[in-house]
Amino acid sequence: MRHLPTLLLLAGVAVTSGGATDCGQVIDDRGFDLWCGDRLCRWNLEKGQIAPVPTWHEGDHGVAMIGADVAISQLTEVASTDGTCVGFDLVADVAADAEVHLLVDVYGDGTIERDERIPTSAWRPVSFRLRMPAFYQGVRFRLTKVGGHAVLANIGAAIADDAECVGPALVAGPRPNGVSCGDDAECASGDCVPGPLGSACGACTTDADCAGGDVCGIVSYAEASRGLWAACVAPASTATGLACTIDAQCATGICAGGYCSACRDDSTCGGGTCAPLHYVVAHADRDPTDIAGALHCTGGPRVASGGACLADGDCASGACVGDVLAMCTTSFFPRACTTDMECPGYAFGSEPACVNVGTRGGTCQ
Amino acid sequence: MGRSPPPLLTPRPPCAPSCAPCSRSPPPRASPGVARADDVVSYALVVGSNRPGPGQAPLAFAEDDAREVADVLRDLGGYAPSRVQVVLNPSARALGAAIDALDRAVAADAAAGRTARVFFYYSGHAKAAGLSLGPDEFALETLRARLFATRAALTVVVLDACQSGAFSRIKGAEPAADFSYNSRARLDASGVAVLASSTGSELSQESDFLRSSYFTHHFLVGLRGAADDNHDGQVSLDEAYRYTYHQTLVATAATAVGSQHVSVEVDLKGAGEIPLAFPEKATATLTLPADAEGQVLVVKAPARAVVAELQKRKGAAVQVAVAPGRYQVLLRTASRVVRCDATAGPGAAPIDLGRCAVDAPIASATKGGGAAGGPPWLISATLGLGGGRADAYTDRLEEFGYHEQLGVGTRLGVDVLRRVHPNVLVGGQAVLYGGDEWRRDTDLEPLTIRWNTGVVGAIGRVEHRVGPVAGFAQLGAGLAVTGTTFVDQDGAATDETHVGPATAGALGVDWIIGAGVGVTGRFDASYAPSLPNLLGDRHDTGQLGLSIGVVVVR
Repeated sequence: MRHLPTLLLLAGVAVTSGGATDCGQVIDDRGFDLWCGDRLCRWNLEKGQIAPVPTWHEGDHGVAMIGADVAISQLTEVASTDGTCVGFDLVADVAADAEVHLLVDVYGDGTIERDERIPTSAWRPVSFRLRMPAFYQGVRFRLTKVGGHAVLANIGAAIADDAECVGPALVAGPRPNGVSCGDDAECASGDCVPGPLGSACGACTTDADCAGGDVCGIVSYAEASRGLWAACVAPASTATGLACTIDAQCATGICAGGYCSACRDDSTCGGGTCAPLHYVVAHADRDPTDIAGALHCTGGPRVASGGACLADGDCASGACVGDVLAMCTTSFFPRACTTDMECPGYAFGSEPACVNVGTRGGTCQ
Repeated sequence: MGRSPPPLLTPRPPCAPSCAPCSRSPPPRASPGVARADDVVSYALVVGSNRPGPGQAPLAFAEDDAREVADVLRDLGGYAPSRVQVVLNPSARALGAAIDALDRAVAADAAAGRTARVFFYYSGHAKAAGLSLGPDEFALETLRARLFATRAALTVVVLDACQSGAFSRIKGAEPAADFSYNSRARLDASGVAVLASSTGSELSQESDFLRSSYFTHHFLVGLRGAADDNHDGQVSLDEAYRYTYHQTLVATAATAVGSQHVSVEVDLKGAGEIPLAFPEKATATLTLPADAEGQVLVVKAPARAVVAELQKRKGAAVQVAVAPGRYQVLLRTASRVVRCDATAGPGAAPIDLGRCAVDAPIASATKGGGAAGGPPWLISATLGLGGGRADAYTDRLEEFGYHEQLGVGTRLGVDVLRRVHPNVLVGGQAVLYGGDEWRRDTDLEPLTIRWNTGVVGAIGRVEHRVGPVAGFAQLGAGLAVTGTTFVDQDGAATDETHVGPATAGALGVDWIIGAGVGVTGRFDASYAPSLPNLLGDRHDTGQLGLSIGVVVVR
């Protein structure tokens, strides 16, 4: 097990990792097999209602799009480093009075770069080949239906041979914040800002770019396709355990090792040791990686009431009060999360997992 | 099991349109008075010719038959070897010369006060008007006149040729199952007797299996002892005729050419029985015990030449005179084949059936497809590998992202068949097809469907058996029951059962190694559209494959 002590060390690994596919597969749960109750675990139900229905066999389910207006989507981490030809396949049972579309949203920024209608079909395979832009980072696939009966099954998107893609490439707009960049002109914000994971389009470069007393810190995107980027944040607003670039954005005033931390060194630990909070990132093809997160006082319950903490064991009272600090154990990025869907599961071919590692913005009682 | 159908025949080619020879009645014969056996001199002129006449095909066994007849006459007929003349493939002139020589010898004996007996045998082509000797023809009228003109007290003429009955037409002879005259075991009869292998309008036939003509084969078997009805140790003319008549008729009854009726002409005087052979005096015999019953085949080892084929009835022992040596005797009944290895020689004991091997009956090998019936029951168990066929069902699986796992299925089958015809069996079949599995990966457990199909049905088989080996083709139809197991992404299994029609066919070979047990190999093809899906597709769960196994016949 390797030990990576700082967020900065992660940056090189993350950047060189490039895109994220599982043996060329772009979409999670390609067969619509993973149901969490009445919804798909890996797909976002944007509107309407869906239900599992038998396809060729009672045990192999497709997705019935129920109602007059239904949309599901999945933001994938596929990037231009994976390939620029994406094949999208599914088996469709679409009635003549239904209108089903596949919408391709490069970067997942809400701009639809391609709208393909899925034809009327009686359980026949339907395929699209999408020539992607020369650069892209993350794609949201949306499936929408209006009208009558439509069931979709065995959906899949995979990197295909370039020769399979004919026609013009999709034209993507300026890059949103969090997307890697080379110069300011590529960014919708006009700012390509160096950061811990390399340069990414950001909202600011200095505090002077921020209004209302905000400071130019760093934030992470809630979904998996984008990394960290520079953004104006309120002073002392970033909770302990989250990524940071400057002390001023942290609630504790301590940005150490790339995280808002409870301590900077042993001097504030009452005889204890200021050490990073560790968690493990899983990999499909190699040993797990031990990640060093935010710093906190260890070596016994020493932090007095009101002191910053990451775990109950940090506190003399034995109680560290705050929000749950959950991190994606499948991402190199120090990505805080609240659900599994926010984690780039397919990046390592393993189950996405958003696990509790401590207390976010914790204070000892 | 029924009598074997006749083997492939080489019919004596059709004879010329019937033309009754303008034969004269035999000339008045010298009265031989009553002669003692010691005073009788026996001459035999044995003629064989394979050569065809114009428009005829060569014969295969006529000359061999002549040699065999000569051997039996020498060994069992009391003919001195020097007085048995074998003439093979003669011209008309050569045959005439041989008859001249015979006439002179008989005349010389008569002059010396000795009574002569003449036996004339001819095997070859003939037309209604004469013997076909290659390009020559020897008129029946001439032959009759010259044979009957000798001074022999008794002349026996045996003709094995097409329409040979025409030789006697002038006498109005007809085929008859029996003829008798008062007889005693003395050579005190005189006159002429003619046995012809067929009537004046019939064809005579050869058998590749017997390697002889039917007529001569059974005539010789009769002389070897099988015709000795009264068990007096000798075979008389009437016994030989009766035996030959029946056996030839039975053997040719189902041939493509048709029944062959041995005809007879007798013009005998006196009260003596006319002995043709004395099997009791043979130096080597095979004795079939009194309790033996069934079809008997005597095969000379190791040449495997058929020496005798006869129907043995229970009740009396039968001696078959043979040349000294080793033989295999097969006694076939409806339910079994008794296979005995025997040695014929002076003083050989009767065959002890109790010490013989007993096999399930097998078909006797015949050339040209006239398979004798095989054992009544056949059971085979086979195991094989095969592959299914792609169809709409499997295409659908591929469209839904499934992949076939092995691509090779297994086949386990059992056939039970009952023979209803020498070449036809019917029965039932049970087959289990397995090994089909398709899988689609998911983020959890793979979705898996696998199925096995059992087929039960009726089958019919046509086989062609050559000795222990039988090639066969079979077809069947029945019901297929397919059981499926679907395993979902959580590992939960669901079982289903489907039923559909099934047909199957096979081409293969059975090889009976011994004791009714053998091996079998086959190519199987089956069609069983018994596996549906929810989208209206139906999969053929049958296979194309190869199987091997064990076969048992009883």
